[in-house]
Amino acid sequence: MSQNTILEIKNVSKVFHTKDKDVEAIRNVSLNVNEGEFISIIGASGCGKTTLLRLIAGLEKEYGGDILLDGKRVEKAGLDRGVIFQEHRLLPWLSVEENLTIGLEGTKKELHNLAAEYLKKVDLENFEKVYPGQLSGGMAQRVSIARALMRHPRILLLDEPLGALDALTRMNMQTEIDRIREEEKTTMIMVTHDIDEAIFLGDRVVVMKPRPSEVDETITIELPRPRLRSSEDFAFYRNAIVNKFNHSIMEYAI
Amino acid sequence: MARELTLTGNENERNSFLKKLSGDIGSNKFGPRLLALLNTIAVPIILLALWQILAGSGLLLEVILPSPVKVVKAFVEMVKDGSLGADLVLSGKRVLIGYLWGAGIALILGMFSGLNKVAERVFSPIINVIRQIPLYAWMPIIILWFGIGEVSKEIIIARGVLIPIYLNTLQGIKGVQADYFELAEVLELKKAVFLRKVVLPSAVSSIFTGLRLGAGNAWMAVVAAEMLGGLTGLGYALMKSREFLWSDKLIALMVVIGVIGVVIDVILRKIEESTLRWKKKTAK
Ligand SMILES: Nc1ncnc2c1ncn2[C@@H]1O[C@H](COP(=O)(O)OP(=O)(O)OP(=O)(O)O)[C@@H](O)[C@H]1O
Ligand SMILES: [Mg+2]
Repeated sequence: MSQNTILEIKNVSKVFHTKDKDVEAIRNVSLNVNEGEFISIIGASGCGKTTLLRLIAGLEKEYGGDILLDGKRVEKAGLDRGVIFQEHRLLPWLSVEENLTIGLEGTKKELHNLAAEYLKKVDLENFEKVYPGQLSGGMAQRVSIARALMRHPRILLLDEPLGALDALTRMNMQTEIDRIREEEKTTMIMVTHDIDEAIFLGDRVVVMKPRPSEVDETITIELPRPRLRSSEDFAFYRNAIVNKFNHSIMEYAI
Repeated sequence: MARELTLTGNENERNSFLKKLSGDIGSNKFGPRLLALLNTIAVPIILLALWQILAGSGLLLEVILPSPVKVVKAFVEMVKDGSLGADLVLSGKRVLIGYLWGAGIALILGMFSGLNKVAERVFSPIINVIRQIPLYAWMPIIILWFGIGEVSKEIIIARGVLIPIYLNTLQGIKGVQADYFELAEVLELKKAVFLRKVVLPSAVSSIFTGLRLGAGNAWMAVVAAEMLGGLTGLGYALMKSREFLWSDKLIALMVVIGVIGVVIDVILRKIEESTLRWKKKTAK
Protein backbone atom coordinates (compact mmCIF):
# COMPACT_ATOMS: atom_id res chain seq x y z
CA MET A 1 0.00 0.00 0.00
CA SER A 2 2.63 2.51 0.99
CA GLN A 3 4.61 2.06 -2.22
CA ASN A 4 2.00 3.90 -4.24
CA THR A 5 1.53 6.72 -1.75
CA ILE A 6 1.45 9.95 -3.73
CA LEU A 7 0.94 12.48 -0.96
CA GLU A 8 2.07 12.37 2.65
CA ILE A 9 0.77 14.92 5.11
CA LYS A 10 2.73 14.64 8.33
CA ASN A 11 1.84 16.56 11.50
CA VAL A 12 0.96 19.64 9.54
CA SER A 13 -0.05 22.78 11.37
CA LYS A 14 -0.72 26.31 10.25
CA VAL A 15 -1.00 29.50 12.24
CA PHE A 16 -2.10 32.74 10.60
CA HIS A 17 -0.47 35.79 12.13
CA THR A 18 -2.86 38.68 11.87
CA LYS A 19 -2.39 42.16 13.28
CA ASP A 20 -4.14 41.67 16.57
CA LYS A 21 -3.94 37.92 17.13
CA ASP A 22 -2.70 34.58 15.91
CA VAL A 23 -5.22 32.18 14.42
CA GLU A 24 -4.35 28.53 14.66
CA ALA A 25 -6.19 27.19 11.63
CA ILE A 26 -5.05 23.56 11.69
CA ARG A 27 -3.10 21.52 14.18
CA ASN A 28 -1.34 18.26 13.66
CA VAL A 29 -3.08 16.97 10.59
CA SER A 30 -1.71 13.74 9.18
CA LEU A 31 -2.99 11.89 6.15
CA ASN A 32 -1.60 9.64 3.44
CA VAL A 33 -3.15 9.64 0.00
CA ASN A 34 -2.62 6.82 -2.45
CA GLU A 35 -2.30 7.13 -6.16
CA GLY A 36 -5.67 7.19 -7.91
CA GLU A 37 -7.54 7.62 -4.67
CA PHE A 38 -10.44 10.03 -4.13
CA ILE A 39 -10.42 11.67 -0.71
CA SER A 40 -13.40 13.63 0.55
CA ILE A 41 -12.74 16.06 3.37
CA ILE A 42 -15.66 17.16 5.43
CA GLY A 43 -15.90 19.34 8.51
CA ALA A 44 -17.62 22.30 10.12
CA SER A 45 -17.34 25.72 8.56
CA GLY A 46 -14.12 27.50 9.43
CA CYS A 47 -12.37 24.35 10.63
CA GLY A 48 -9.48 24.79 8.21
CA LYS A 49 -10.37 22.69 5.17
CA THR A 50 -9.55 25.41 2.67
CA THR A 51 -6.35 26.12 4.53
CA LEU A 52 -5.31 22.48 4.24
CA LEU A 53 -5.96 22.45 0.48
CA ARG A 54 -4.10 25.73 0.04
CA LEU A 55 -1.17 24.25 1.90
CA ILE A 56 -1.10 21.24 -0.41
CA ALA A 57 -1.50 23.56 -3.41
CA GLY A 58 1.53 25.52 -2.23
CA LEU A 59 -0.38 28.78 -1.96
CA GLU A 60 0.51 29.07 1.73
CA LYS A 61 4.25 28.78 1.96
CA GLU A 62 4.85 28.68 5.68
CA TYR A 63 3.64 25.77 7.73
CA GLY A 64 4.70 23.32 10.39
CA GLY A 65 5.26 19.63 9.66
CA ASP A 66 5.72 18.19 6.20
CA ILE A 67 3.64 17.85 3.07
CA LEU A 68 5.40 15.53 0.67
CA LEU A 69 4.26 15.14 -2.91
CA ASP A 70 6.06 12.18 -4.47
CA GLY A 71 8.49 12.47 -1.59
CA LYS A 72 9.28 16.16 -2.17
CA ARG A 73 8.31 18.83 0.35
CA VAL A 74 5.73 21.25 -1.00
CA GLU A 75 7.18 24.77 -0.97
CA LYS A 76 5.34 26.50 -3.78
CA ALA A 77 2.50 26.10 -6.24
CA GLY A 78 2.98 24.26 -9.50
CA LEU A 79 1.44 22.45 -12.41
CA ASP A 80 1.75 19.06 -10.72
CA ARG A 81 -1.19 20.10 -8.57
CA GLY A 82 -4.42 21.18 -10.23
CA VAL A 83 -6.58 23.49 -8.16
CA ILE A 84 -10.32 23.96 -8.52
CA PHE A 85 -11.24 26.95 -6.41
CA GLN A 86 -14.62 27.47 -4.85
CA GLU A 87 -15.31 30.00 -7.61
CA HIS A 88 -14.30 29.07 -11.13
CA ARG A 89 -11.61 31.76 -11.50
CA LEU A 90 -11.87 31.91 -15.25
CA LEU A 91 -10.66 35.17 -16.77
CA PRO A 92 -13.78 36.96 -18.00
CA TRP A 93 -12.01 38.68 -20.92
CA LEU A 94 -10.69 35.44 -22.40
CA SER A 95 -12.80 32.97 -24.32
CA VAL A 96 -13.21 29.47 -22.94
CA GLU A 97 -10.50 28.22 -25.29
CA GLU A 98 -8.08 30.97 -24.29
CA ASN A 99 -8.82 30.31 -20.64
CA LEU A 100 -8.05 26.64 -21.11
CA THR A 101 -4.81 27.10 -23.00
CA ILE A 102 -3.38 30.11 -21.17
CA GLY A 103 0.33 29.69 -20.61
CA LEU A 104 0.54 26.44 -22.58
CA GLU A 105 3.00 26.05 -25.41
CA GLY A 106 2.24 24.69 -28.84
CA THR A 107 0.95 25.73 -32.23
CA LYS A 108 -2.45 27.35 -32.50
CA LYS A 109 -3.86 24.20 -33.97
CA GLU A 110 -2.42 21.94 -31.30
CA LEU A 111 -3.79 24.12 -28.55
CA HIS A 112 -7.18 24.32 -30.23
CA ASN A 113 -7.38 20.55 -30.54
CA LEU A 114 -6.29 20.09 -26.97
CA ALA A 115 -8.97 22.49 -25.74
CA ALA A 116 -11.59 20.74 -27.85
CA GLU A 117 -10.55 17.35 -26.52
CA TYR A 118 -10.88 18.41 -22.90
CA LEU A 119 -14.10 20.32 -23.46
CA LYS A 120 -15.51 17.07 -24.74
CA LYS A 121 -14.36 15.33 -21.61
CA VAL A 122 -16.37 17.73 -19.46
CA ASP A 123 -19.35 17.56 -21.80
CA LEU A 124 -18.99 21.07 -23.26
CA GLU A 125 -18.33 20.45 -26.94
CA ASN A 126 -18.35 23.56 -29.19
CA PHE A 127 -17.92 25.98 -26.33
CA GLU A 128 -14.47 27.23 -27.41
CA LYS A 129 -15.54 30.70 -28.46
CA VAL A 130 -17.89 31.42 -25.57
CA TYR A 131 -16.95 33.84 -22.79
CA PRO A 132 -17.15 32.84 -19.11
CA GLY A 133 -19.83 35.42 -18.37
CA GLN A 134 -22.12 33.53 -20.76
CA LEU A 135 -21.79 30.27 -18.86
CA SER A 136 -23.91 28.95 -16.02
CA GLY A 137 -22.19 28.18 -12.73
CA GLY A 138 -21.99 24.46 -13.44
CA MET A 139 -20.59 25.00 -16.93
CA ALA A 140 -17.95 27.43 -15.67
CA GLN A 141 -16.88 24.99 -12.99
CA ARG A 142 -16.57 22.24 -15.63
CA VAL A 143 -14.33 24.51 -17.71
CA SER A 144 -12.19 25.10 -14.67
CA ILE A 145 -11.94 21.34 -14.14
CA ALA A 146 -10.91 20.94 -17.76
CA ARG A 147 -8.30 23.66 -17.33
CA ALA A 148 -6.77 21.76 -14.45
CA LEU A 149 -6.98 18.31 -16.09
CA MET A 150 -5.34 19.55 -19.30
CA ARG A 151 -2.12 20.15 -17.42
CA HIS A 152 -1.98 16.52 -16.28
CA PRO A 153 -1.62 17.17 -12.57
CA ARG A 154 -0.45 14.41 -10.26
CA ILE A 155 -3.25 15.38 -7.97
CA LEU A 156 -6.41 17.48 -8.29
CA LEU A 157 -7.47 19.65 -5.36
CA LEU A 158 -11.11 20.70 -5.28
CA ASP A 159 -12.36 23.21 -2.72
CA GLU A 160 -16.15 22.92 -2.52
CA PRO A 161 -16.28 23.04 -6.31
CA LEU A 162 -20.05 22.53 -6.33
CA GLY A 163 -20.86 24.71 -3.34
CA ALA A 164 -22.54 27.43 -5.37
CA LEU A 165 -24.74 25.15 -7.48
CA ASP A 166 -28.37 24.18 -7.07
CA ALA A 167 -29.19 20.70 -5.82
CA LEU A 168 -30.00 19.17 -9.22
CA THR A 169 -27.01 20.58 -11.09
CA ARG A 170 -24.94 19.55 -8.16
CA MET A 171 -26.00 15.91 -8.45
CA ASN A 172 -25.32 15.96 -12.19
CA MET A 173 -21.90 17.40 -11.54
CA GLN A 174 -21.13 14.74 -8.95
CA THR A 175 -21.86 12.08 -11.56
CA GLU A 176 -19.70 13.99 -14.00
CA ILE A 177 -16.77 14.16 -11.58
CA ASP A 178 -17.17 10.46 -10.87
CA ARG A 179 -16.95 9.73 -14.59
CA ILE A 180 -13.88 11.95 -15.00
CA ARG A 181 -12.24 10.20 -12.07
CA GLU A 182 -13.00 6.85 -13.70
CA GLU A 183 -11.56 7.93 -17.07
CA GLU A 184 -8.56 9.97 -15.99
CA LYS A 185 -7.62 8.02 -12.87
CA THR A 186 -6.37 11.27 -11.38
CA THR A 187 -5.87 11.39 -7.64
CA MET A 188 -8.32 13.86 -6.16
CA ILE A 189 -8.87 15.57 -2.84
CA MET A 190 -12.18 17.32 -2.50
CA VAL A 191 -13.45 19.51 0.31
CA THR A 192 -17.19 19.58 0.75
CA HIS A 193 -19.95 20.49 3.18
CA ASP A 194 -22.24 17.89 1.75
CA ILE A 195 -22.18 14.46 3.41
CA ASP A 196 -23.86 12.72 0.46
CA GLU A 197 -21.36 14.24 -1.93
CA ALA A 198 -18.49 13.06 0.25
CA ILE A 199 -19.81 9.48 0.27
CA PHE A 200 -20.86 9.45 -3.38
CA LEU A 201 -17.37 10.32 -4.58
CA GLY A 202 -14.92 9.36 -1.87
CA ASP A 203 -12.87 6.24 -1.49
CA ARG A 204 -12.28 7.63 1.96
CA VAL A 205 -14.05 10.37 3.85
CA VAL A 206 -11.91 12.40 6.21
CA VAL A 207 -13.90 14.03 8.99
CA MET A 208 -12.20 17.01 10.59
CA LYS A 209 -12.67 18.39 14.08
CA PRO A 210 -13.60 22.01 14.68
CA ARG A 211 -10.76 24.49 14.78
CA PRO A 212 -7.95 24.13 15.40
CA SER A 213 -8.74 21.09 13.40
CA GLU A 214 -7.22 17.69 13.46
CA VAL A 215 -8.37 14.65 11.57
CA ASP A 216 -11.19 13.24 13.62
CA GLU A 217 -11.71 10.02 11.77
CA THR A 218 -11.18 8.55 8.35
CA ILE A 219 -13.99 6.41 7.00
CA THR A 220 -13.36 4.04 4.11
CA ILE A 221 -16.36 3.80 1.80
CA GLU A 222 -16.67 0.29 0.52
CA LEU A 223 -19.45 0.68 -2.00
CA PRO A 224 -19.35 -0.30 -5.66
CA ARG A 225 -19.45 2.57 -8.17
CA PRO A 226 -21.47 4.27 -9.49
CA ARG A 227 -23.03 4.63 -6.09
CA LEU A 228 -26.71 4.91 -5.46
CA ARG A 229 -27.70 7.60 -3.01
CA SER A 230 -30.92 5.79 -2.24
CA SER A 231 -29.35 2.47 -1.26
CA GLU A 232 -29.36 1.15 2.28
CA ASP A 233 -25.57 0.91 2.44
CA PHE A 234 -25.32 4.55 1.42
CA ALA A 235 -27.67 5.45 4.27
CA PHE A 236 -25.48 3.46 6.66
CA TYR A 237 -22.44 5.60 5.87
CA ARG A 238 -24.51 8.75 5.97
CA ASN A 239 -25.71 7.92 9.46
CA ALA A 240 -22.23 7.04 10.60
CA ILE A 241 -20.92 10.42 9.51
CA VAL A 242 -23.86 12.37 10.87
CA ASN A 243 -23.36 10.67 14.23
CA LYS A 244 -19.68 11.41 14.11
CA PHE A 245 -20.50 15.05 13.56
CA ASN A 246 -22.99 15.31 16.38
CA HIS A 247 -20.46 13.67 18.60
CA SER A 248 -17.58 15.94 17.81
CA ILE A 249 -19.72 19.03 18.10
CA MET A 250 -20.86 17.84 21.52
CA GLU A 251 -17.31 17.16 22.59
CA TYR A 252 -16.28 20.54 21.41
CA ALA A 253 -19.11 22.21 23.26
CA ILE A 254 -18.15 20.50 26.49
CA MET B 1 -29.67 4.78 -15.75
CA ALA B 2 -28.44 7.64 -13.63
CA ARG B 3 -25.74 8.26 -16.19
CA GLU B 4 -28.25 8.65 -18.99
CA LEU B 5 -30.28 11.14 -17.03
CA THR B 6 -27.24 13.29 -16.56
CA LEU B 7 -26.31 13.25 -20.20
CA THR B 8 -29.66 14.41 -21.45
CA GLY B 9 -29.63 17.10 -18.81
CA ASN B 10 -26.39 18.50 -20.12
CA GLU B 11 -27.38 17.97 -23.72
CA ASN B 12 -30.53 20.01 -23.30
CA GLU B 13 -28.71 22.68 -21.42
CA ARG B 14 -26.13 22.89 -24.15
CA ASN B 15 -28.51 22.98 -27.09
CA SER B 16 -30.80 25.62 -25.70
CA PHE B 17 -27.75 27.58 -24.70
CA LEU B 18 -26.14 27.53 -28.14
CA LYS B 19 -29.47 28.47 -29.69
CA LYS B 20 -29.79 31.45 -27.40
CA LEU B 21 -26.29 32.55 -28.30
CA SER B 22 -26.92 32.53 -32.03
CA GLY B 23 -30.27 34.30 -31.71
CA ASP B 24 -28.94 37.11 -29.61
CA ILE B 25 -28.53 39.67 -32.37
CA GLY B 26 -30.83 42.42 -31.14
CA SER B 27 -33.14 44.31 -33.50
CA ASN B 28 -32.66 48.07 -33.72
CA LYS B 29 -35.99 49.84 -33.80
CA PHE B 30 -36.04 53.23 -35.48
CA GLY B 31 -38.71 54.94 -33.34
CA PRO B 32 -37.00 54.78 -29.94
CA ARG B 33 -33.69 55.87 -31.45
CA LEU B 34 -35.25 58.99 -32.98
CA LEU B 35 -36.78 59.81 -29.62
CA ALA B 36 -33.43 59.42 -27.92
CA LEU B 37 -31.83 61.77 -30.45
CA LEU B 38 -34.54 64.39 -29.88
CA ASN B 39 -33.98 64.00 -26.18
CA THR B 40 -30.33 64.88 -26.60
CA ILE B 41 -30.61 67.83 -28.99
CA ALA B 42 -33.71 69.54 -27.57
CA VAL B 43 -31.92 71.79 -25.08
CA PRO B 44 -29.15 72.89 -27.49
CA ILE B 45 -31.78 73.83 -30.07
CA ILE B 46 -33.73 75.91 -27.57
CA LEU B 47 -30.55 77.67 -26.45
CA LEU B 48 -29.60 78.36 -30.04
CA ALA B 49 -33.05 79.88 -30.70
CA LEU B 50 -32.80 82.05 -27.57
CA TRP B 51 -29.36 83.19 -28.68
CA GLN B 52 -30.67 84.20 -32.10
CA ILE B 53 -33.61 86.08 -30.57
CA LEU B 54 -31.41 87.88 -28.05
CA ALA B 55 -28.82 88.84 -30.69
CA GLY B 56 -31.54 89.99 -33.07
CA SER B 57 -33.33 92.10 -30.45
CA GLY B 58 -30.71 94.84 -30.56
CA LEU B 59 -30.43 94.89 -26.76
CA LEU B 60 -26.75 93.93 -26.92
CA LEU B 61 -23.89 95.29 -28.98
CA GLU B 62 -22.84 93.01 -31.78
CA VAL B 63 -19.24 92.84 -30.44
CA ILE B 64 -20.60 91.38 -27.23
CA LEU B 65 -22.99 88.88 -28.75
CA PRO B 66 -22.93 88.30 -32.51
CA SER B 67 -25.82 86.31 -33.92
CA PRO B 68 -25.41 82.59 -34.68
CA VAL B 69 -25.65 83.36 -38.36
CA LYS B 70 -22.68 85.73 -38.14
CA VAL B 71 -20.71 83.13 -36.26
CA VAL B 72 -21.38 80.57 -38.97
CA LYS B 73 -20.30 83.10 -41.59
CA ALA B 74 -17.08 83.76 -39.69
CA PHE B 75 -16.49 80.03 -39.53
CA VAL B 76 -16.97 79.62 -43.27
CA GLU B 77 -14.63 82.52 -43.90
CA MET B 78 -11.90 80.99 -41.71
CA VAL B 79 -12.26 77.71 -43.55
CA LYS B 80 -12.08 79.43 -46.93
CA ASP B 81 -9.01 81.56 -46.26
CA GLY B 82 -7.28 78.50 -44.83
CA SER B 83 -6.42 80.07 -41.48
CA LEU B 84 -8.53 77.62 -39.50
CA GLY B 85 -7.00 74.63 -41.25
CA ALA B 86 -3.49 75.88 -40.64
CA ASP B 87 -4.15 76.57 -36.96
CA LEU B 88 -5.81 73.20 -36.51
CA VAL B 89 -2.88 71.35 -38.02
CA LEU B 90 -0.40 73.23 -35.85
CA SER B 91 -2.33 72.77 -32.64
CA GLY B 92 -3.13 69.18 -33.53
CA LYS B 93 0.51 68.37 -34.08
CA ARG B 94 1.49 69.86 -30.73
CA VAL B 95 -1.25 67.94 -28.96
CA LEU B 96 -0.24 64.71 -30.61
CA ILE B 97 3.45 65.01 -29.74
CA GLY B 98 2.82 66.23 -26.20
CA TYR B 99 0.18 63.59 -25.65
CA LEU B 100 2.30 60.71 -26.87
CA TRP B 101 5.20 61.75 -24.63
CA GLY B 102 3.01 62.36 -21.60
CA ALA B 103 0.94 59.23 -22.07
CA GLY B 104 3.97 57.06 -22.78
CA ILE B 105 5.79 58.20 -19.67
CA ALA B 106 2.65 57.98 -17.54
CA LEU B 107 1.80 54.47 -18.75
CA ILE B 108 5.29 53.16 -18.10
CA LEU B 109 5.58 54.77 -14.67
CA GLY B 110 2.03 53.78 -13.78
CA MET B 111 2.57 50.14 -14.68
CA PHE B 112 5.88 50.00 -12.87
CA SER B 113 4.35 51.54 -9.78
CA GLY B 114 1.38 49.21 -9.95
CA LEU B 115 3.50 46.09 -10.10
CA ASN B 116 6.32 47.10 -7.82
CA LYS B 117 6.03 48.59 -4.34
CA VAL B 118 9.48 50.18 -4.49
CA ALA B 119 8.64 51.94 -7.74
CA GLU B 120 5.37 53.16 -6.31
CA ARG B 121 7.12 54.59 -3.29
CA VAL B 122 9.50 56.44 -5.61
CA PHE B 123 7.09 57.79 -8.21
CA SER B 124 3.78 58.33 -6.47
CA PRO B 125 4.99 61.12 -4.14
CA ILE B 126 6.70 62.89 -7.04
CA ILE B 127 3.59 62.73 -9.19
CA ASN B 128 1.53 63.91 -6.26
CA VAL B 129 3.67 67.00 -5.74
CA ILE B 130 3.59 67.80 -9.47
CA ARG B 131 -0.16 67.39 -9.33
CA GLN B 132 -0.66 69.85 -6.49
CA ILE B 133 0.91 72.65 -8.56
CA PRO B 134 -1.71 73.69 -11.14
CA LEU B 135 -0.83 73.38 -14.80
CA TYR B 136 -1.03 77.17 -15.21
CA ALA B 137 1.51 77.63 -12.44
CA TRP B 138 3.94 75.44 -14.36
CA MET B 139 3.77 77.47 -17.53
CA PRO B 140 5.96 80.45 -16.57
CA ILE B 141 8.91 78.29 -15.51
CA ILE B 142 8.57 75.98 -18.51
CA ILE B 143 8.57 78.99 -20.83
CA LEU B 144 11.52 80.47 -18.93
CA TRP B 145 13.51 77.28 -19.37
CA PHE B 146 12.46 76.19 -22.84
CA GLY B 147 11.43 79.42 -24.54
CA ILE B 148 8.18 80.02 -26.35
CA GLY B 149 8.88 77.48 -29.10
CA GLU B 150 7.37 74.09 -29.78
CA VAL B 151 9.24 72.26 -27.03
CA SER B 152 7.76 74.20 -24.17
CA LYS B 153 4.25 73.79 -25.55
CA GLU B 154 4.74 70.06 -25.86
CA ILE B 155 6.07 69.89 -22.32
CA ILE B 156 3.07 71.79 -21.01
CA ILE B 157 0.77 69.37 -22.80
CA ALA B 158 2.71 66.35 -21.57
CA ARG B 159 2.46 67.68 -18.01
CA GLY B 160 -1.30 68.01 -18.42
CA VAL B 161 -1.56 64.45 -19.69
CA LEU B 162 0.78 62.84 -17.19
CA ILE B 163 -1.27 63.01 -14.02
CA PRO B 164 -4.61 61.40 -14.94
CA ILE B 165 -2.99 58.65 -16.97
CA TYR B 166 -0.47 57.81 -14.27
CA LEU B 167 -3.05 57.76 -11.50
CA ASN B 168 -5.60 55.70 -13.42
CA THR B 169 -3.04 53.20 -14.70
CA LEU B 170 -1.70 52.73 -11.19
CA GLN B 171 -5.15 52.27 -9.78
CA GLY B 172 -6.14 49.84 -12.53
CA ILE B 173 -3.14 47.64 -12.02
CA LYS B 174 -3.37 47.66 -8.26
CA GLY B 175 -6.97 46.65 -8.68
CA VAL B 176 -6.02 43.29 -10.23
CA GLN B 177 -7.58 40.78 -7.90
CA ALA B 178 -5.34 38.82 -5.57
CA ASP B 179 -7.22 35.75 -6.80
CA TYR B 180 -5.63 36.14 -10.22
CA PHE B 181 -2.14 36.28 -8.75
CA GLU B 182 -2.87 32.91 -7.12
CA LEU B 183 -4.20 31.57 -10.38
CA ALA B 184 -0.96 32.63 -12.04
CA GLU B 185 1.01 30.72 -9.40
CA VAL B 186 -1.09 27.61 -9.79
CA LEU B 187 -0.85 27.69 -13.60
CA GLU B 188 2.83 28.69 -13.50
CA LEU B 189 2.18 31.60 -15.87
CA LYS B 190 5.24 33.39 -17.16
CA LYS B 191 5.53 37.07 -16.20
CA ALA B 192 4.96 38.26 -19.78
CA VAL B 193 1.87 36.09 -20.23
CA PHE B 194 0.51 37.21 -16.89
CA LEU B 195 1.01 40.86 -17.83
CA ARG B 196 -0.54 40.52 -21.26
CA LYS B 197 -3.44 38.23 -20.51
CA VAL B 198 -4.32 39.09 -16.93
CA VAL B 199 -2.96 42.43 -15.72
CA LEU B 200 -3.55 44.56 -18.80
CA PRO B 201 -7.07 43.35 -19.59
CA SER B 202 -8.16 43.79 -16.03
CA ALA B 203 -6.71 47.30 -15.91
CA VAL B 204 -7.79 48.34 -19.39
CA SER B 205 -10.98 50.11 -18.37
CA SER B 206 -9.18 52.21 -15.83
CA ILE B 207 -6.30 52.94 -18.21
CA PHE B 208 -8.71 54.19 -20.85
CA THR B 209 -10.39 56.45 -18.33
CA GLY B 210 -6.95 57.96 -17.81
CA LEU B 211 -6.26 58.20 -21.54
CA ARG B 212 -9.54 60.02 -22.10
CA LEU B 213 -9.07 62.42 -19.22
CA GLY B 214 -5.54 62.99 -20.51
CA ALA B 215 -6.78 63.76 -24.01
CA GLY B 216 -9.16 66.35 -22.61
CA ASN B 217 -6.32 67.89 -20.64
CA ALA B 218 -4.04 67.91 -23.68
CA TRP B 219 -6.55 69.82 -25.73
CA MET B 220 -7.04 72.37 -22.95
CA ALA B 221 -3.31 72.67 -22.39
CA VAL B 222 -2.49 73.41 -26.02
CA VAL B 223 -4.96 76.29 -26.14
CA ALA B 224 -3.59 77.70 -22.89
CA ALA B 225 0.01 77.31 -24.03
CA GLU B 226 -0.68 79.02 -27.36
CA MET B 227 -2.46 81.88 -25.64
CA LEU B 228 0.58 82.53 -23.48
CA GLY B 229 3.24 82.45 -26.12
CA GLY B 230 3.80 82.10 -29.86
CA LEU B 231 2.05 83.37 -32.94
CA THR B 232 0.30 80.28 -34.25
CA GLY B 233 -2.37 77.77 -33.36
CA LEU B 234 -5.95 77.90 -32.14
CA GLY B 235 -5.03 79.49 -28.83
CA TYR B 236 -3.24 82.30 -30.58
CA ALA B 237 -6.18 82.75 -32.95
CA LEU B 238 -8.45 83.15 -29.93
CA MET B 239 -6.20 85.83 -28.44
CA LYS B 240 -5.98 87.67 -31.71
CA SER B 241 -9.75 87.60 -32.16
CA ARG B 242 -10.21 89.12 -28.73
CA GLU B 243 -7.69 91.88 -29.43
CA PHE B 244 -9.40 92.83 -32.67
CA LEU B 245 -12.87 92.39 -31.17
CA TRP B 246 -13.80 89.71 -33.73
CA SER B 247 -16.34 88.16 -31.44
CA ASP B 248 -17.92 86.11 -34.23
CA LYS B 249 -14.57 84.43 -34.98
CA LEU B 250 -13.94 84.03 -31.29
CA ILE B 251 -17.13 82.10 -30.73
CA ALA B 252 -16.66 80.05 -33.89
CA LEU B 253 -13.20 79.04 -32.67
CA MET B 254 -14.57 78.08 -29.27
CA VAL B 255 -17.17 75.86 -30.87
CA VAL B 256 -14.50 74.24 -33.06
CA ILE B 257 -12.35 73.55 -29.99
CA GLY B 258 -15.30 72.05 -28.15
CA VAL B 259 -16.37 69.86 -31.05
CA ILE B 260 -12.86 68.52 -31.60
CA GLY B 261 -12.58 67.70 -27.90
CA VAL B 262 -15.77 65.67 -28.12
CA VAL B 263 -14.62 63.93 -31.30
CA ILE B 264 -11.35 62.88 -29.65
CA ASP B 265 -13.25 61.52 -26.68
CA VAL B 266 -15.63 59.57 -28.88
CA ILE B 267 -12.76 58.06 -30.87
CA LEU B 268 -10.98 56.96 -27.70
CA ARG B 269 -14.19 55.51 -26.37
CA LYS B 270 -14.68 53.51 -29.56
CA ILE B 271 -11.15 52.14 -29.24
CA GLU B 272 -11.86 51.22 -25.65
CA GLU B 273 -15.07 49.46 -26.63
CA SER B 274 -13.24 47.42 -29.22
CA THR B 275 -10.90 46.13 -26.51
CA LEU B 276 -13.86 45.25 -24.33
CA ARG B 277 -15.77 43.15 -26.79
CA TRP B 278 -16.05 40.33 -24.26
CA LYS B 279 -18.08 42.60 -22.02
CA LYS B 280 -20.63 43.28 -24.70
CA LYS B 281 -21.02 39.59 -25.38
CA THR B 282 -21.41 38.90 -21.70
CA ALA B 283 -23.93 41.57 -20.81
CA LYS B 284 -27.19 40.24 -22.13
N1 LIG C 1 -5.34 34.47 5.36
C1 LIG C 1 -5.87 34.28 6.60
N2 LIG C 1 -5.54 35.10 7.61
C2 LIG C 1 -6.05 34.93 8.83
N3 LIG C 1 -6.88 33.93 9.17
C3 LIG C 1 -7.24 33.07 8.24
C4 LIG C 1 -6.76 33.20 6.89
N4 LIG C 1 -7.29 32.19 6.15
C5 LIG C 1 -8.06 31.50 6.99
N5 LIG C 1 -8.02 31.99 8.24
C6 LIG C 1 -8.74 31.47 9.42
O1 LIG C 1 -8.44 30.10 9.53
C7 LIG C 1 -9.59 29.38 9.89
C8 LIG C 1 -9.84 28.28 8.88
O2 LIG C 1 -10.26 28.87 7.66
P1 LIG C 1 -10.60 28.01 6.37
O3 LIG C 1 -10.95 28.97 5.32
O4 LIG C 1 -9.49 27.08 6.10
O5 LIG C 1 -11.89 27.22 6.86
P2 LIG C 1 -12.84 26.24 6.03
O6 LIG C 1 -12.90 24.97 6.77
O7 LIG C 1 -12.43 26.18 4.62
O8 LIG C 1 -14.21 27.01 6.18
P3 LIG C 1 -15.46 26.98 5.18
O9 LIG C 1 -16.08 25.65 5.33
O10 LIG C 1 -16.33 28.06 5.71
O11 LIG C 1 -14.94 27.24 3.81
C9 LIG C 1 -10.72 30.36 10.01
O12 LIG C 1 -10.90 30.68 11.36
C10 LIG C 1 -10.23 31.55 9.24
O13 LIG C 1 -10.75 32.73 9.81
MG1 LIG D 1 -13.33 26.84 2.76
